[in-house]
Amino acid sequence: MIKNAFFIKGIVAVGMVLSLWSCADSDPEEVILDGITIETQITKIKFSQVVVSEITSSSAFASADLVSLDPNFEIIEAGYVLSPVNSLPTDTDIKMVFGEIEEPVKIESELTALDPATVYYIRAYVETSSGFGYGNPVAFTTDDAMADVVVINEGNFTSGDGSFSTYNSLTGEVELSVFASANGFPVAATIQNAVIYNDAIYAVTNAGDKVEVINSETFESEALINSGFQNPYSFAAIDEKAYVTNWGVLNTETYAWEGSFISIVDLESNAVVDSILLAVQPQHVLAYNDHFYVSNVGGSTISVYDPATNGVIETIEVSFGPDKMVVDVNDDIWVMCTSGTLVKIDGETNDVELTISEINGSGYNERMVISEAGDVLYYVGTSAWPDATTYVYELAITETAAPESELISGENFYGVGISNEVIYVTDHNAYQGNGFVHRFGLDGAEINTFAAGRIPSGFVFR
Amino acid sequence: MAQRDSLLLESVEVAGMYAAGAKTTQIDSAARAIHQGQSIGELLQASSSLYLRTYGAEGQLTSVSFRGTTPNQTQVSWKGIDINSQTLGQSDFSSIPSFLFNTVSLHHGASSTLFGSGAVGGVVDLTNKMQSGLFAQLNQQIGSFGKVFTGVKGQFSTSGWGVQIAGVHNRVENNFEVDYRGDSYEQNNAASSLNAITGEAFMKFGSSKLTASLWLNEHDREAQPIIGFLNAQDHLLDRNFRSNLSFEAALSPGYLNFSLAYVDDRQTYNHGSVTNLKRLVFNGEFEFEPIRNWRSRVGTNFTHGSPAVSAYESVASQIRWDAFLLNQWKTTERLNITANLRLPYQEFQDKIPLVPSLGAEYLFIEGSSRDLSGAVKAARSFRFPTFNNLYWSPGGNKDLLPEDGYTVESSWNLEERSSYVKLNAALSAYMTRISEMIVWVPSGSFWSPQNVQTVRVSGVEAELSIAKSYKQWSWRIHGTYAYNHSEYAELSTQLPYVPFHKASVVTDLKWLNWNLTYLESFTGKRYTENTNTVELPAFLLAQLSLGHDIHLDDHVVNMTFQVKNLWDETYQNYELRATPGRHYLVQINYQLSKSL
Repeated sequence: MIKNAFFIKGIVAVGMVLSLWSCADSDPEEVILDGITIETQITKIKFSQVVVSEITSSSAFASADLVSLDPNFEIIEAGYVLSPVNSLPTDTDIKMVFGEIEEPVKIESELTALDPATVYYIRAYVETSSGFGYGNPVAFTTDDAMADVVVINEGNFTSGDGSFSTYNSLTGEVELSVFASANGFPVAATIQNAVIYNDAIYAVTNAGDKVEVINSETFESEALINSGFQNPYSFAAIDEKAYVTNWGVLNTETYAWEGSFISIVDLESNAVVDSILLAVQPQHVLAYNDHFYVSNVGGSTISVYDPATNGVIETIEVSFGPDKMVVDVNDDIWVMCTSGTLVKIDGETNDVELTISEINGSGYNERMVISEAGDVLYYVGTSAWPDATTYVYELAITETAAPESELISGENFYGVGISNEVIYVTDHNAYQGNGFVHRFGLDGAEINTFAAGRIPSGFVFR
Repeated sequence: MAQRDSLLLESVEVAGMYAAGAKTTQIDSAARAIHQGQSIGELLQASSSLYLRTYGAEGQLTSVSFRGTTPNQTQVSWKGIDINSQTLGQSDFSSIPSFLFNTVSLHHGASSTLFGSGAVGGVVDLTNKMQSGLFAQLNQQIGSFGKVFTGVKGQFSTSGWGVQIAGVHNRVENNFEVDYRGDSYEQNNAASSLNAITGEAFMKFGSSKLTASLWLNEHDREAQPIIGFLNAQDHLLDRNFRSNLSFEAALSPGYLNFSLAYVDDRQTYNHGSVTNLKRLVFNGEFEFEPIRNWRSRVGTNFTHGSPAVSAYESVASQIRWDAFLLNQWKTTERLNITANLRLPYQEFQDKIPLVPSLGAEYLFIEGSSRDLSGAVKAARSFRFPTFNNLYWSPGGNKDLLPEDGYTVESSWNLEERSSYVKLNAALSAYMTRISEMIVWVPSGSFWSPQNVQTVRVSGVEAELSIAKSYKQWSWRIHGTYAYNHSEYAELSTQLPYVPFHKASVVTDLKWLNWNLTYLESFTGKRYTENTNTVELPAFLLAQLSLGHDIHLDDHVVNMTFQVKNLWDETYQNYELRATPGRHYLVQINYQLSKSL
């Protein structure tokens, strides 16, 4: 609480607004309270009732008018006192101070760093040379904490029923189809990947081919970029420029992707402004060290692009099928390849430092994440037909050989994520209806399972 | 001999005779008249209790859910041949023009003893009966969203020989408005073009008859994408060649029927990948009366299928061989009993199901103004794994068992007649359990079909028709309703895209040469996936048609104006597929009928 109080005081200087009081500004609904009492003396100092608005899980907005003064009492300072404990908060509780007051004013304060789902009591106060006087208290409750786990539900390809759902790791609350609820229309596509960049979720989808720019708090659609893509897969951005990899068109005779390319997106105009044609199917794109790293899953190289020229400045030879890339705490890049290897690339020199073979991955659209500390990799593996068992493996970045056994095994594992020392594993439910997410501790012990949408495949943590 | 002749004529209708206790319905003639320029899919959606899984735009993929089952469990039969795609296991009803068939019979429920593999939920039987005499028809239609339809039919037949030919061209652009995120756009990539020709010729030699039939079908279309998928390019081209040669003979010990069919189904996806399957189908049947009032039919059905699909791993051909025995015993005028047995075989199947069915019909009341009959039936049904199920590489699973269904049902029919009014009411109730349902599930890094699901269906079907005439007025109403509770045994959830409720009403008012028809169908809410968390709301679709006939001797010219989706309902039959709003159709039909 002390930290909170300190934090609030720190914010007050920015958040408080002093404005001259006038009748026109006064809300006609506001109750003007009788003169407030200071040390048993009834004064002519009057406040209006405090109005608390714009309540969120961590903030609120308080407004009251100091309607009249009393010449017998010099106001040293005025402001609000706030407490989650005392129903009649006093000057020893959290204080928002407005300083010396000489004429009627409106006092407005943005209350921040509040705890979620908490009842707070607030009242206006004046400090005079004779002591403290308080207006009437008002109670308000902050909203529940914003769900911290956003589940990417890929959706069934032909149905285009991809969706976002959320999970609140504090309350366990699940909300399905949050994008559709916020916008009144569904995503209507298969979501291949989604990442947070500049407070927005950039969701790359195919069938329909588009990038949805979504407010990461409210899930409202902020922009829709729906031309310039052909089976787009992955997104990464540097400043106002983003690269989106595109598989192109599937040749239904050879089952090879043809006409692959990278779309270059201007994030200010939210439009595809250019493209780079490729000879081979790209998969992921990683923004690192002011360069774009594109894994060419149809071949065995990673191309490093200079965003200034959109030209390849380096080509890194790795194993066949480079797919998912992550950066570790030592600034090395780890690449999972569909041919069953993990390749470690020095992030400074772009030299391959290590290739670990016999990695049991998925064989396509590899799912790999790195711990928040950047020292342990987690990835999904499948078993050979007809066994349908799936696995999650862990591998410390100091290791030089594939893990001998899995960390977790189960049926229908599809995607993986890690947040607050909890491993999140998606379960596609054998593609039969909506899926689930299982939560595991770092030791692989299951914590709980929650519901998700159709074919959950990954996570965005916020 | 006369008796034998009548036997011969009836012989085409396999199902009717040996289907005591089974529910068979015919599609309403007024509904057929309105849907002449459309597919069987649109016809069934508007006028039957079946649920059509369709995107909603004309010419787009359409499959049927019969009695709460899946589209794979509906068989489509022409000349006794299962015309379902043998690779995929189902038919696309949008590719079957209703103009070509003058009778569409629905066999509700398990009919495997009569029709073989796949007749689990029901059978849609397409026939085009030849009438004696001269007949010619020309039908031209123009409608909204770039619809142009032309249908031509010609027929000449005597008692000794006959020939018939029919052709259809149907083009629709489907460029209707689609509401999208508060704005709208014109539907993209949804045009459809269909061309079809059927021909038939028969000749009688004494008490035997030779019939040759042909059906060529070409459906070239863009695959309608989900809403908002603006650069979609998927394209499908289907070509089907179906032919049949049959020989029937009424001999003194009984009646004999042989037929040999050749079917070539070819689908080209995105101008590249070709799925091709050629089939040779032989049917042989012999019917006789072992004792008085007891009729038996023994037969065999042999199918040799050879696929040309690049994804199939080394399969040159597959053999399917069924043997069956059908029995009908009319114990009295009132009681009719059917006992059938089929023994099917498919290559690589270790477990051969023995498929029996038993049914009885009893006429409780038979009067001048009222008939009441009741029936019961119990049947087993089955569906063999498809070519894709068995041979697709990777994943094809040769250890699959056939899907196995058991059904019990009871149905009741009431007919009331007076000089002014005719009323028909039918009610049936059924319970079905289907186990070993084949589902593609992931195994390792690819998918493989497995016998994983069991489904329980309980349902009710009701039908009511009333016809009334007064002077130059005549009025008719025909309603259907079906309730299907079809749930996964394990999950206790409803099957996706199986509505609990489906109903249809066709009403027809005639005065002199004027004709007003109104159709309305109700489709209840449907879930889009197994866990039943996402549902599509129920919708009503109405059509209104006003027609006028001009008669001149043997010639009839008919002009019709139709309004489809009359109430401009915005709905999704299939998740995220746009459907057209109110639209219009003008039809001119010329017909010449001359009896000899």
